[in-house]
Amino acid sequence: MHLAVFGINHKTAPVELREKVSLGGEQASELSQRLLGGSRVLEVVPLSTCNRTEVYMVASHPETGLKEVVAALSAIGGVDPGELKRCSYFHEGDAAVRHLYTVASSLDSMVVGEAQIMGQIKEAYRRAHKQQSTSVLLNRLFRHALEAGKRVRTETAIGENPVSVSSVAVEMAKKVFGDLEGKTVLLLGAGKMGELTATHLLSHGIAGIFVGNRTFSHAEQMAEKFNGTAIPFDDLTKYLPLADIVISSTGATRYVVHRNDAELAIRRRHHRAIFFIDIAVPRDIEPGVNDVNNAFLYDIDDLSEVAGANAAARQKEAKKAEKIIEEEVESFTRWLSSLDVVPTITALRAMAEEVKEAELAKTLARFDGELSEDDRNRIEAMASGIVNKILHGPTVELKRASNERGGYLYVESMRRLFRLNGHKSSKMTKKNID
Amino acid sequence: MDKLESIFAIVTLLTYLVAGCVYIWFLITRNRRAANLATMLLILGLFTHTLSLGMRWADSGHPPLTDSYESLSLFSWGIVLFYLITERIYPIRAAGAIVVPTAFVIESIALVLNNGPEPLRPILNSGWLWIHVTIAMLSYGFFALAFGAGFFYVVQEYLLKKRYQNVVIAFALMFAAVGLAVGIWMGFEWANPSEAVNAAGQYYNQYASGDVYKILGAGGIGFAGLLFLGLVAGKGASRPSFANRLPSLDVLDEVSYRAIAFGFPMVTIAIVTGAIWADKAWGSWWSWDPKETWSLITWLFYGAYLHTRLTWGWRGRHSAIIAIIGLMVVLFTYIGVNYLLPGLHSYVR
Repeated sequence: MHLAVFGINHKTAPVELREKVSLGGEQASELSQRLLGGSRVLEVVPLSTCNRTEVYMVASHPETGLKEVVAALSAIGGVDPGELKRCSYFHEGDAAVRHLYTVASSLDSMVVGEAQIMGQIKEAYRRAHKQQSTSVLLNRLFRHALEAGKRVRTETAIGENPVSVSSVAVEMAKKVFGDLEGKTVLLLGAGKMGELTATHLLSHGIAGIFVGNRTFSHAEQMAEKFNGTAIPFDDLTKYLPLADIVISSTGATRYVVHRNDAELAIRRRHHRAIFFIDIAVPRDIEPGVNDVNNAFLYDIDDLSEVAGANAAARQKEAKKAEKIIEEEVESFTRWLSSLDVVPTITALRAMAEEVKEAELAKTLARFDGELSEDDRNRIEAMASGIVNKILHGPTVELKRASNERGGYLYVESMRRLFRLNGHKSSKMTKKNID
Repeated sequence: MDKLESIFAIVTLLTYLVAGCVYIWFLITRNRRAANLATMLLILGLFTHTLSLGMRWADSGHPPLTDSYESLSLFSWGIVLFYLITERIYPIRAAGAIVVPTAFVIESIALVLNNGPEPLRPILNSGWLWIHVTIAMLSYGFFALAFGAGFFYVVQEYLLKKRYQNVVIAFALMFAAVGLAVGIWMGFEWANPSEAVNAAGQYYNQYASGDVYKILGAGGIGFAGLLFLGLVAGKGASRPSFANRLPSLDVLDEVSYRAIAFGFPMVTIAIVTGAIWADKAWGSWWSWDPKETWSLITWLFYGAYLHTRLTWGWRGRHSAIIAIIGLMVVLFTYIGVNYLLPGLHSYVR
């Protein structure tokens, strides 16, 4: 039985190919059905996000697993198998484990440290588990990977500092207000970035949004989209005191919000802060607004500077994360190697042999020379016979189970029932194998 | 000092030191395990601190409030206790990096000044006095918390306004001021004044010129040393990503305000109980003793904080600056008055 992963991602494949083999819920289960139907693949979890499509599997032989997964995936996506294979990667054993852990820690993501990947992996695994396309090995692998990802998140600052302009704006606003729940946004202009930032803010519990535009009908359209209120552009100063966050991205060539507007607005709102986000070029908000007490102004350069610094900080954290991943991979592969059939059989035999020898010695000592050489041989042969007969069934079954889906369950049960993990001979055999 | 008591006191001091370092480490690395470790250490420190104060009480037969060691130690105990409670309620673990080292410094000064339990002067043995001093110390704990939150408010605001130089200046000024104050204080301890009585029958300390050099020298060393430390810390803090390590302005403002909203009624009670006790001990409610005068100034100061906030709607930096200066007034009332101004409270030394 072999653990392996086949996949393509944003680094190895162009978007045209990625979007073709991108798997929705139904296609994912179709893929699992196909692979499991072939009896050479024993467990499957397909993982598909916007930047990657990967298939984690347990196969009786890695080569056959690879062949089948390429065939199934190219059939479902309608792509050329050769091209798919050329743009892909394939990892086995420890490398496959490390790959999943790296993905779960979002080190392999387009935006290092992004938070969604954990949820996507959890969802992919949950679906596979529900369809019973996983068993002992992938169950354990995915749970462990999610834990490793969580550990990376809590022990490093990899996800702490946002790296996109609109999320930096949200994060900065949070540093002023603590919580964006119930805050009001004033969106000026119809720029794409402004809209994006407003969308981002809305997902953080913003209570209301005012939209202002030189062309009132444009303001109305945008307001409808955000479930907000359109305001006449000339009444801007009237609405300014109501806004906690102002996003400006108009095409105006002169300043839209002046320093004294901000001063007046803040006085009207009893010194509560206003956070100004100016994404327009040329700028909409007079730079002097930042000098007003309790007013905070970020223009596009400020935001991208913070985003750049944060991205650099994440790279540093990624180094720490790699160390954690190494530790976690090691702990998983230690468990994995304990599930190999051959050392388990060796350990079982060694244990039985030891018991036999001890019991024989005890019994023979009692006779104290009354027995002839022949008698001794007969007793020894009987003891060996009992041991061999009893162990014959389990040995054969274990060997067969190693090529069956869920076969690890037998190995694990065997180790548990006969207490082979703590047994000194099992440690010895492990060492010999290493 | 009882042997076991002093062992507990030393363990407390070391635990605060390590906890303070771990909090700073947490502020730098943002490692959550570090934060949990720091909190656990701090709880342990508070436990041994409680034990050592309790033993002091059992040993001397009166609550540990009478000399410099006892009241300072209780002060630092109060800071740690309130900080731990605040940490439970608000996400301000980063503030531990300044609050816990402060508690450590106060506790180490307390241990330096410790002369062992002394027999109580009869004038101090009064139920009103215990209430007076305990509540005063509790209110100081709250004001120290308000100060910590206020300082970080100023820093966070400069960070969010992208005024990175001002961050360095704020750190340098803050550290230098603390260094100067502690240095001068230690200088006064080091100096050897003679006690004199003025025409009004009040005690005061007479300092020789050698003493003045000692005091200024110690102040200068403290100033220079901490100024340097402040510059280093400020340099480290003056970058955009540091804003993410600090609590939001809103939380800092709220914590500072809540702490003062608790501390103010307490300091009011402390002044009232003090007056009741003064009436019993000295036969007069209020005799414009410097300690009394400065308590009144402290009271007015925090009253002004609440007034500007509640009726004028002040918040943010203005309030934070009042909270910062407020603690300096508190410390002068608490310590400075004893050394510099003649009065009835001079037994506290």
